[in-house]
Order: sequence, then structure tokens, then C-alpha cells
Amino acid sequence: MKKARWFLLTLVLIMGLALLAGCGDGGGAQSADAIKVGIVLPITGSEAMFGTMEKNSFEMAYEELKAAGKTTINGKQIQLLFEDDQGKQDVAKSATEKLINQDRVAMLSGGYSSACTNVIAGSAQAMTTPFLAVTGSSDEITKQGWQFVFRGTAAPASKYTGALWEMLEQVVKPKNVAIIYENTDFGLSSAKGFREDCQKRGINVVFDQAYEHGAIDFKPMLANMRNTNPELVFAVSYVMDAAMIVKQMKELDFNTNLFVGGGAGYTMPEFKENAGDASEYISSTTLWVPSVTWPGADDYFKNYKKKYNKEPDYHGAQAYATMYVIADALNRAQELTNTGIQKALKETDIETIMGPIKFEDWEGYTNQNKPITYVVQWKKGNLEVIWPESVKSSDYTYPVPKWRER
Amino acid sequence: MKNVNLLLKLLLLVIVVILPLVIKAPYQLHIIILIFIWAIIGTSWNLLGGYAGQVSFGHAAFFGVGAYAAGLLQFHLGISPWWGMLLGPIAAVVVSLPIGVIAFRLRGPYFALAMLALGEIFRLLFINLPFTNGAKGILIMPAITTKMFYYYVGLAALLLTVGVTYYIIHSKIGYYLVSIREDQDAATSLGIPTTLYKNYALLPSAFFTGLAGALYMNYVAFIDPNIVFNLTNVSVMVIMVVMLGGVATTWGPTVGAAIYIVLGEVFRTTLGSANVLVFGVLVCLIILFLPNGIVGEIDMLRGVLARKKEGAAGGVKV
Repeated sequence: MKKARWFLLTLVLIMGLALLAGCGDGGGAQSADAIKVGIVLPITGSEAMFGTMEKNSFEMAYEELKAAGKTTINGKQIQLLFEDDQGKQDVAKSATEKLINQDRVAMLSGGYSSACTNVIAGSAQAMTTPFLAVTGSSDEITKQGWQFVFRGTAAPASKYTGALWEMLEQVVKPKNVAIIYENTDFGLSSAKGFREDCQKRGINVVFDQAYEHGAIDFKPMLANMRNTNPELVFAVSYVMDAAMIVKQMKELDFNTNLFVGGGAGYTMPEFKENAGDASEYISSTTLWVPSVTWPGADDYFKNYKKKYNKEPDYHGAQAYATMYVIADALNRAQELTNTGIQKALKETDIETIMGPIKFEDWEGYTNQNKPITYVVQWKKGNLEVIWPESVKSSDYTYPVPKWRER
Repeated sequence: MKNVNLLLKLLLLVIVVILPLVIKAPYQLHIIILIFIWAIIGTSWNLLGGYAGQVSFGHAAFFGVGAYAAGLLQFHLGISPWWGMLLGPIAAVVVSLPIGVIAFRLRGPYFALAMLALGEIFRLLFINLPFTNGAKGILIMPAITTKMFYYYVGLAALLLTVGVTYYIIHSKIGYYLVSIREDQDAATSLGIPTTLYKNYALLPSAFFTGLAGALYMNYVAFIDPNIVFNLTNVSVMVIMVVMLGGVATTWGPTVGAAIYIVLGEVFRTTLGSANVLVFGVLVCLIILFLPNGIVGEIDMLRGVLARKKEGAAGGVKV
């Protein structure tokens, strides 16, 4: 009984404190003359690795912009409000509701997984608040004709392969390809895009299979795939599964002329760490690499590594570039209302570390930047750009040596 | 005393009904709408898991089927997903019929495992079936965006759920269900057709969980199989909600949902990265010290408060 009483007291105390804190947030604690930008990212949960990298990059870009005097507009300071969506879509909805209705943000950004980005985009459009998506790459997000939803640094998933197709047409000229992909929105969209591109070019898809998110044993699938004898494997995976697939291919001594990942896991530093030497010569499409020639890319990579003691990949670059786009749009906006910011975003024409960004309407997309993609290849533990040839940092290796001949 | 109680209840009802007219803040209303949705699922689960003692780890199956019934109407036929509020619960009942027949042959942990598998089967089915749009899910733009509307729909659905559950529990079926929970063999020997009565608990439970699913689809406007058929975020969460509020109590699940949603949200917005950890610790503490949930321990809580008063009075005497 005594225990219960103490416990009750503590519970009441916690709730009281939490309520007080909550009221403080909603009240006048924040200065009224700030331009608030709400950013929803997965800071906890299974996607926290990506969310934290993006939050760090936002903050880094913000500090640089502040030093350059670009975060104060007519005496009002840009203020970033981060909200954690825990990688869950209903939490993303709550976070969006809070930012728009409670904090009264001028605009929104963030969005890592496609599911969360879908929900944030839908809520933002319904409440006519401009939203600039960072990573969520489901095709649908910018295909709804939603005028308040913008996507600059992320390509629609089916458009990740622009540079890859150039390379395939000029160098590889495959006849038989295999497609494997994680059974998620991103995996399905990517695989669908690649499959259609194959059909257009008359390339045989000899193996086409989805696998469950979080799977660890790929040997049965890989053995079946080997029987179909593909020249090229296109795989869409996150980090752990990507590493498992290439490791198990090595164990099975399953050789192809080229193995290409569809972004996401195959470019992460964690992929190299987990896959070890099986990562050698694995290629991937990507939206960004530190060695691209866009001004500032190299500085970003070095500064990030210095500051956070970790290597960023394209996800971090997306957040970093997005912060610059936001600051640019807010500085140009005639008036800081939802339509004013929307207009300024629409007129964006800026060069970032991810290349030039403009929001255009094309092929059924609305407010979608035309993505620039690259093909990269792991060589001696480094991610080298091999295509387009004009920006390459190393020559491509094709066909890749067989596992036993290395 | 009884009159006072009734008066209090009426007062509470009036407050709840006029609340959105007083606080117009959409964010707070959003939180309450989420509470309503979870309270409906919790109350439905409670009927089967709390009163009849059939612990289900697979309520996400009914929730998801309800949500998809609403979503697919819009996706394939362009029919307003609000018709899903009608179709969703019916679809969930249709799904639950064969499940009841099969799974109620099992008892205790075997039943729990069968239901757990069921939720996962539905998740995999909806990822891979051709007509569900797979893992890409269904994204719609809701026609109605005012929070007040969803608030009243949610409130009405919750009152209906609680009302029907209350009616069932206080009818003959309710006593049968409790006797099944307490001792199934004794109940059988008394001539209660246990499998049949378990189904009588399952059908309304599935019905209202499907209703909550359809409401969820309409409100959140995006679903995919990994969200609505999720084991931890739906099936286990509903058990947490009921445990927190009070198993086999009329208002326990509602209280549990309110605590779960409000505390989760407050922690998320104030504690930064530590929010999940603190929340988890708190849930552990509640389960440790209030094993029957908040409503289930209400008499004990009253006792604690009353003793405090006595203690204070005693202090004055001395």
C-alpha cells in the first residue's frame, strides 16, 4: 500500500510536470517574431540512424547560414523545430498536427520513410502549409497534384536509375537481368521502374522476386536466381539485408558480370563494415557522393566527419541541401505567409551540394526536381563514382572478377 | 450515492460533447480523436480478452481489414471511404467467422499464438495480393478536414462500442463469458456451449475493431500493410492499452488509451531522444504497482486517498 501511494504521487508529479512543460511550449516561451520551420524526422526507432544524420546535417547547414547572416529576415530569425516521428506514421501525423496548429510553423520539412512522408504531405496539403520533403521517395508523393508539397533533393524511386541506364546501354548491354527487392514501398517502386525500363529495351527479366523486410537468409532465393543465369543483378535493399545478400552470394560462389544496388543500403558506410570484402566491386545507383563536383560537397563531407566523427552519405547531403533551399526560399519570399512561401519555393533556382534544384511539373509529377543520379562502385573500401564519365573518380570495373579469382 | 454517480456521468458526457466547441485547437482535438480510435479497439479487445479471457495477439487483422475495406473502396471504385465505416466492420466480422471456428478449438497460449500468426498472415497477404496495392499502401486526400467532424464521429463510435459491450456483459452472455474465463471445464460441465459463446464475444469484438480501422483510414488518410497489420504497434499496443486502463472493466480501455496517447505524445515532444525509454519505464511501473490497471485498482486508489485523509485528520487530533 505504501509503495502504491508513493508510486501514485510520482505518477501525478510526472504528469503535472509534463503538462506544465507542454503548456510552456504552446505559450509565449518562443519569441513571436521567429520564422518557424518544422522538421519531422525519425530520431528514435529503427530509422534513427538516418534521422539523426539528417538532423545533424540540418543543424550544420543552419549554423553555416547563420554565420552568413541568412537566417535573419527583416529582423525575424529562422527557427528550426525538430519533431521525432519514431518511424511511425500516426506519430508523424501527430507531429505534423502539432507543428502546424500548435507551433504555427511557416513551413514544414523532413520525412524519411515513404509512409511517414506520405502522411506529412497529406496533412500539410490539407492544411495548406508548404512542405519540402527531404528523403521520402515514393512516386506517389509528388504525383497527387498537391500544390503545397515540394520535393527537391529526393528523386521519385522509379527515377533513381537514370545514370545506370546510360551506363547499361553504353557498356554492359545486358540480355538477362535479375531483380530482387525488399517488399516495401521504396523497393516496389524502384523494382517497378527498373522492370518497365527493361521491357522498353527488350531485356529479359529472368528472375524477379521480392523478399520480406528484415529477412536474413537469402540463400534459397540466391540459389534459385543462380539457376536462371543472369548477367546483371539489380537489388533494392536497406543496410543489413544488403550486406547479407552480397556475403551469401560470395559464400555460394554465385558470379555475375555486375551487381547493382538501387541506392539506400548499398551506399551506406555500414554496408561496407558489415559486408567486409564481399562489398568489393558492388555497384549502386546513388543521388550523391562526396566526390561530386558540385561546390561545397567536399566541404560538407569533411566538416560533418570532423564535427560528428562519422561519415555522412547521401541522406545527410539531402538534409543539408534542403536547409539551403529553405533559407533561400524564405529570403526571397515577398511575404511570409503559406502562399508567399509556396510561391517562393516554386520559383527556386539554386545550386546546392546535390546539384541545381528547381521545382517543376513533369511526367505527372508536381513540384518535383529533376534528379541527377550517379553510379558508384566500391573499390578497396572506397565508394568511387564510375558514371557519368564526366564526373567519374575512378574507371568502372566490368565485368567484375569472379569471387575465386580475387 | 447512486444519483450522484449518475449525475457525474451525465456531467462528464455533456463536457465531452461540448468540448470541441470550447477548445477549437486542432492539435488537441487530434490527440483526442486518436484516443477515441484506440479506446474503441481497446474496448473491443477487452470484450474477448478481458471478459471472456481469450487473449488475442492478432487484433491487427480485424483492424487492418476494416481499414482496407475503406481504403480499397476509394482506391478501386472511387467510392467515398466513409462507406467503409459500414463495410469495414462487416468485412472484419466475415473474416472473424472462420477464425473463431478454427482458433477456439485452442486454449490459452495456443489460442494466443494462433491469433498472433493470424495477424502476420494478413500482413503478408495484403503485401502480396494483387488488388491491395501491396506495400505501397493507399493514400487518399480526405474530403473533410475539420477536426470537429472526426471528433464527433469518433465519440459516437466509442459510445456505441462501450454501450454494446456493456449490454453484452450485463446480459446472460456476459456471465457465460466470465465463467468461461474463470474455468472453461466447469462452464462446459454446467452446459454452456463454450465455443459458441466465445464466438459471441469474438464477433462484436471484430466488428468494432473493424470500425476503428475504417475510422483510422478516413482520418489518417494513408495506410499500408506494415502499419495496420503491425504486431507491435497495433496487436500488442491494444493489449497495453487495456492492461494500463484495467482488464474487464467498462471504461478501463478508454482510460488506458487516454493515458497511453497523452503521455506518449507529451514525452515525445518534451524529452527528445529519451522519450521511448521513459515511456517504457513508466509502463513497467504501472504494470508492477497497478497490476489490474488504473480502473481495476480504483478501489485500492480510493483506499489510499481515504487513508491519507484519515492520516491528516489523525494528525490534527494529536
